[in-house]
Amino acid sequence: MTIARGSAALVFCVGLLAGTLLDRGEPAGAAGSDILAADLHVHGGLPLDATLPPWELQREARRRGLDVIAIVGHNQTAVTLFESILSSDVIVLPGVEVGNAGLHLIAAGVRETIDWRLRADEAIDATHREGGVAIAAHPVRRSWLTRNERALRELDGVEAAHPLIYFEPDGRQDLIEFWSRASAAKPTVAPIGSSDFHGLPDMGACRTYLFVKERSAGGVLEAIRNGLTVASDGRGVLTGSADLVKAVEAHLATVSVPGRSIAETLVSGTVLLALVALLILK
Amino acid sequence: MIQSSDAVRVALAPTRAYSELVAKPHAPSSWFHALAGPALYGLVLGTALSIAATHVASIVGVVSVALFWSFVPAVQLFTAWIVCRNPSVRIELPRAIELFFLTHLPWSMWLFAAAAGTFWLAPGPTLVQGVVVAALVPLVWTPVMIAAFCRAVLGCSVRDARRRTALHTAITWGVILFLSILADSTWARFGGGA
Repeated sequence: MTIARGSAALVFCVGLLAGTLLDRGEPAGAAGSDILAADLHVHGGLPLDATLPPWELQREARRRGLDVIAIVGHNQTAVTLFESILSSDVIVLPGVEVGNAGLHLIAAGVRETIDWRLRADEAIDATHREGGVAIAAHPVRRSWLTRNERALRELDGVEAAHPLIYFEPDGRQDLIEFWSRASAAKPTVAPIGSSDFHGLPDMGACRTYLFVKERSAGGVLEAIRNGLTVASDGRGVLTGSADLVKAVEAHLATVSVPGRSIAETLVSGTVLLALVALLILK
Repeated sequence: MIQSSDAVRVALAPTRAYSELVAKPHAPSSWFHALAGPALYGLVLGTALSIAATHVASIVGVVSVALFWSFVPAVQLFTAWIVCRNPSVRIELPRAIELFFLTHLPWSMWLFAAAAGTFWLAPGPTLVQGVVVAALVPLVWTPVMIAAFCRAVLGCSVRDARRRTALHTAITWGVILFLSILADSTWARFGGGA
């Protein structure tokens, strides 16, 4: 190995070590807090659907100050294969994103997949029978084609904040319209903010604040069923009932949503450059 | 003096570089050398994807992601074995595989560029379009490099080199397409009740 290559390898190893030492993150909810930060639409279980393995999703949740994540797969629940090796500090709800030509539905808190061939209301019923909650996923016009009114009344939650509001010109308007329809059909439907994390954008970019009685998977599901949530679009817009929004604003004044640190970014950039050097130098 | 690696030389002038590498005397190749290529590719995947998704470079993160995506270098190793079978000239299989894995540089650079892009560009259509457009370079150039490998290293005729390259491309993309459809459950997007 030449000096140039050896140096690149050394910088790579030292960078990784520094990155490991800098790596930190605590779940957002202080002990005893009844407000938990959640991302209820995180893809995991199979590569090509997810960039990170489930245990790394949990670590990333910690870095992003999340207390709860729902790890879902497209019409599969491969994440359940990994449940035994997940730690308990971040609550993980296994689930499935039920998707077909007419709808996308997050079934969170279920261990069996929900048949994607079902009608929307049938899929919601099946989710409830499995003990989970049903959340309309990114219900923009192309994702939620059904006019199934019973489904609207049976939904537990609606993604009122999703990164599509930044990517698609009509994204925000579509989500607001759907949220209005759903909350008119069922006033207690929970507003949900989710990142739909496959690797990008940041996990928790849009997130949900949950008002829980107990810090457990059961407590999280109960909060969603009772509509005790506030959706955050990550840029200061909160959706939910006025009193809950006020409580979240007060909560956010005392805790901060972790961002990317400059030191971590510099170290990551150095590691990448060192690996490039390792490949291109003799 | 700083010199470019064999992978860079192969990427810039595949046929010439491979001809020179084959002609150059070298120590007997071992499976250790042959497997260093896939291992390095796994490290590239683990590092680039871990940093792209988290912006954090940690040992556990890189190793975890490398393991999660280890099927990619495994498929590449399998296709390398397929491509290198029955060469027209005498060459040890480990040496052939070692040289074959020099072709991974364009895709590795693309992965690094994609990871770096997540630092500079906000997630959105610009980033996605940039990543897709940038993928055209390795998509086009890798088969050219593999064809050059077949001609210069394995001694194949033009026709045989094309056949082996096509086989490699078909297997690689067939596996990726199959797994993508499985992970996305793409079939469901065309049916189901509303």
